[in-house]
Amino acid sequence: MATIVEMPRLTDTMEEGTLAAWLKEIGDKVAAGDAFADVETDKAVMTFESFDDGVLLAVLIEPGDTVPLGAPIAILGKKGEDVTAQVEEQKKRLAELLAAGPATSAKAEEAEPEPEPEPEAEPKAEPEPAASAPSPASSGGAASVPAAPTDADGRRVKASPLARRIAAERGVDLTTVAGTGPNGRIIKRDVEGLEPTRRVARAGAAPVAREDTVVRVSQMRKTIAKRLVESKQSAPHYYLTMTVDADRLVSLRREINAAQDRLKVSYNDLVLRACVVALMDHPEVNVAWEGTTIRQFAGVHLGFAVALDEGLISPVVRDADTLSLLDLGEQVRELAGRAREQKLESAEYTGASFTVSNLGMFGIDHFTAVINPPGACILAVGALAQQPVVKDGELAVGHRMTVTLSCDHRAVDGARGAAFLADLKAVLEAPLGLLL
Amino acid sequence: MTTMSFREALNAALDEEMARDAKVFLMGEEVGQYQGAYKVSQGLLDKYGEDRVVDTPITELSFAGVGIGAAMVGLRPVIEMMTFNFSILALDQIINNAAKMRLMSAGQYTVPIVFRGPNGPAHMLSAQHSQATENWYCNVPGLKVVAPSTPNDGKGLLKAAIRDDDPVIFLEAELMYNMKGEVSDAEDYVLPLGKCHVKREGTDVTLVSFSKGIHHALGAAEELAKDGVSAEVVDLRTLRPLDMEGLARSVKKTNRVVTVEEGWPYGGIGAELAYRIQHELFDYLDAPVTRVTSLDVPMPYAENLEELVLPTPRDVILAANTVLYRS
Amino acid sequence: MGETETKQLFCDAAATEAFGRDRLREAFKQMIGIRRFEERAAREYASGKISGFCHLYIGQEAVATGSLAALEAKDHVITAYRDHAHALLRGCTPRDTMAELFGKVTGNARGRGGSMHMFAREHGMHGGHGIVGAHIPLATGFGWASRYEKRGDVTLCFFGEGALNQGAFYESLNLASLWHLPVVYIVENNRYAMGTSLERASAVVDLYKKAEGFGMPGVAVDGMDVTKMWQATQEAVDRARTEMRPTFIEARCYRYRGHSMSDPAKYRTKEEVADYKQVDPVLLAERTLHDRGWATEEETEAWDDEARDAAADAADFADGSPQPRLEDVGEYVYRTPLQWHPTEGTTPHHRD
Repeated sequence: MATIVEMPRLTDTMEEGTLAAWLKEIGDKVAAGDAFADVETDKAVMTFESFDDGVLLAVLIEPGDTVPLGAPIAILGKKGEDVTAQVEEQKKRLAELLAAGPATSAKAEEAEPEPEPEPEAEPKAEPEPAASAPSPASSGGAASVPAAPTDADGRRVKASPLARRIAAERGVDLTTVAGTGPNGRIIKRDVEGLEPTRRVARAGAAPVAREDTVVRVSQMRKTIAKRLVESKQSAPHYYLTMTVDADRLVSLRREINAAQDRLKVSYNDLVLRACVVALMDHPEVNVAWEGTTIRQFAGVHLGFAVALDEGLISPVVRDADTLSLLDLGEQVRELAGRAREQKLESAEYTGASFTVSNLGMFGIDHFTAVINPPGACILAVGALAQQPVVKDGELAVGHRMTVTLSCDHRAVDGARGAAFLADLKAVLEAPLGLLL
Repeated sequence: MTTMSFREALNAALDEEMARDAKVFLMGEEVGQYQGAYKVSQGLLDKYGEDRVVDTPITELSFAGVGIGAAMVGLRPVIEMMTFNFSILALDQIINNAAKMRLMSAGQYTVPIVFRGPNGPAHMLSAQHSQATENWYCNVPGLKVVAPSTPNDGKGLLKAAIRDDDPVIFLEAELMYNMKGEVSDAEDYVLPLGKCHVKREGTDVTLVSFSKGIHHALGAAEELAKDGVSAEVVDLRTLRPLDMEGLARSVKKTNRVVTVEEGWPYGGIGAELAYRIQHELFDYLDAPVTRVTSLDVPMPYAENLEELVLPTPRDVILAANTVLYRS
Repeated sequence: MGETETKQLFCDAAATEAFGRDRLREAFKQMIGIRRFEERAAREYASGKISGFCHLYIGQEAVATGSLAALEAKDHVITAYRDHAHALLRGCTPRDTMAELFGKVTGNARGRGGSMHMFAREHGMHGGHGIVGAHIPLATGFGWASRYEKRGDVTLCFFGEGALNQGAFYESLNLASLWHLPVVYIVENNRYAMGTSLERASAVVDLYKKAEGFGMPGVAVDGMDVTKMWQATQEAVDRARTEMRPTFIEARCYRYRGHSMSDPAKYRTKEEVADYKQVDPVLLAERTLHDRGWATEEETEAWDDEARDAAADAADFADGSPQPRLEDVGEYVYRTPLQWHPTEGTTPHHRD
């Protein structure tokens, strides 16, 4: 009965062995305990002493061969026994073991569990300011209320675990709480006496299943959005603000409207006309940045912002510099009307060389706007209101209006923008020139 | 209740347990004829004889091992380490033999041995005689670690330690031996191991400590009370196994924790407490767990430096103020 | 050089006479049982069934067999990590010893100890210890307890010559002498502490002479001769039991395999090993039995076959036994765990 001799584990850490030398020859009698082979292990060359008795009938590997533990390496049996069948079988088995790749011990055969992929930290998106919209509103009330503690990404709130729990239990929105702990940490005393924040559901209220409303974006809004993003991201905006003494504007408007019936002239009409007049003297501001060139427009193509449900759209009055005040006013009304009915052609809301956006009717003091391409500038107009002013060293009441000019620094640098704005102010403050 | 010193309370505990159970014996350097290096074993040699109160040569390793061997075959030894600084020589016996014998033999051996003696810094003994060892022993499963803070607790806990069937490291403090306190007169006064004890009730902050540190905490609590801050002082009594349930009751009430110990900060008792508290009581914390420890230096000899190194009630107050967000 | 002093083909005549026919037959059975068990353990290690450390007693059988023959049931035995023989001789079976080697719950330490930590407390087998020399104080403690309660029992404490330079050895023997403890300290001097020969480690190589420094009797014995081992130990055991005095015995022996299964044994020559094989303790005992007509060849062959069968049976038993249950990982740490459990303070790993 033939005995298959297998590569033994001769050190506690070996996983494979390399035959260094056979110490018996085919035909030799082998007794248990006899030195059988020298095997190179991970630690040293060890002598493999046979476990079994028998005559060495066949060897399956040669000196220099490396095989895993348990691999068949020789066959013992009775003298004269025919073991050709077993030799074939064991050689096949050996070949399979070697083909299976690097020798592994029983332990290493347990596959190492794949390390879990690190969950990707969700990038906190910078919320873009809305299209040519004003900067974030301060909460209604005095400007002295401290803003909620925010990080650079505007989201993280530092609060002790206890404070978080109390806030959660009471329905307090932590972003509305000022923290008095170190580094603005919100702690227990900051949330203890608070009422639930209005926006947040009261603790304990049974949550009604509510669904968000999802509205498809119209093509127009998509286009406006795209162009405004491009503008904000590519044009390096800077802002120039001026406050205009509007007393004479107020009286002029009154007089114009008393003197004719054709058009009820608004302050916006006067401002638009003023811009055109000023631009005629500052063609270097009536430009478009084109990368390698700057285009100075032949005429003033005046865009003016109109608020629709669909979004903010700026119809364009082409060649506004050829129009009188009343003509301009009529065209603006006509375009705005068609804009509200969404009946504008694309050529009628593109190509403005200069745009004016007026939020004065909302009571906005001043704001900054996003440049409406292809123009390089946009004028943001605030409310015209009575204010305490200084006149001849004395306190008086005067009409004031604040305008902010956004310029694309690539096309219009500071000095030019400032010069234009100064002239615009001069025109608005001596408005008779608007009638010319 | 009777007023007695910490050493007298420990002496009483030893006396009572040796009278109660013939298998209990005391072994260590100078415990017999010298009456104990710190007089804890005063009078015991006369009472119980030299077979039960055994003076040893200066051989911590072997007499710790002799005690463990004797415990393995049925006796109940109390091995005194003159100070726990010297227990370092016996660490192999304590950790590799006492702590592990039960597990290695699958429960065939019980090792009801107590290693006791003064632990930690005293006064101007310099670096090699100021070692706090509690955190090393607490790291080892198979051991129990006990550290009383008052004479009353000393008596009740030492009796409990001697009666416990597992190896107990019983940590005293040299500077506490003279401390006097009220001790229960109960005939067989045994305190439970594994339970903490509120030494002073409060609502605003939890000060948790053991052994000498309790007195720093109590001192701080007194001062804080004058400022209207109500500190709760929790005495761990047993360091391993920790009474997390008892500790949790306090933390849930106060929401803030200061741990106090005299050992070094890295891997000290406060480190373990901080982990456990933030892990199990996260939502109850209004501030991070803060620890008071000695400075991270081997103990210098000079008095002013030692004072700087060691924690004081003032350090505890400052730590409490931090977690209370008081300036 | 510390070789066996007599290269004889038989056990010592006088000692054999004193030992007697029955005991020598029993001793041979025990030694051949140990031999075949250790050989089988080596084979199982080579197949990967046993892992970690495995220190074989092959060649040293006479030391444990002869000395333990001097004991009574109530006496104590403690040794270092080359402990399979002591375990088999003192309360453990081939099955529970092999199972312990395999790390199975049916082992004598329920799979918690492994090769170096075999225990049978009820039979006075107190391990099985891994730190060199660290069990010697424990043995001294057994002696202390014996004296304390006047139990009249004796402790045999075995260790290798490599442990002789440990502080624990010196401290313990001093205490045993000082306190009059009934302990017999037996150094199994197989001449090599792993790869370091005695000459390279010890200033004094006649180890029995160290006894004088402790004020106790010391004697060197031929550790390959089971009858001489018994004789020297019996004398020491009697002295311990009646006089409460310790003895130090140097058993000069040899191990035919490496220090442990990972040892290529390059530190000694093949000739030296072959030399010592002539005085193989099992062979010595066998020849003596045959020569005196105390056992026939058939009998000794039959005992050999039984030993092989017992070893094979032990391996099959161990192979078929289960490992300890996972939920029992916290067992046997404390006698009274209180609120402790092994997962405390850890972040539990969920294997859902």
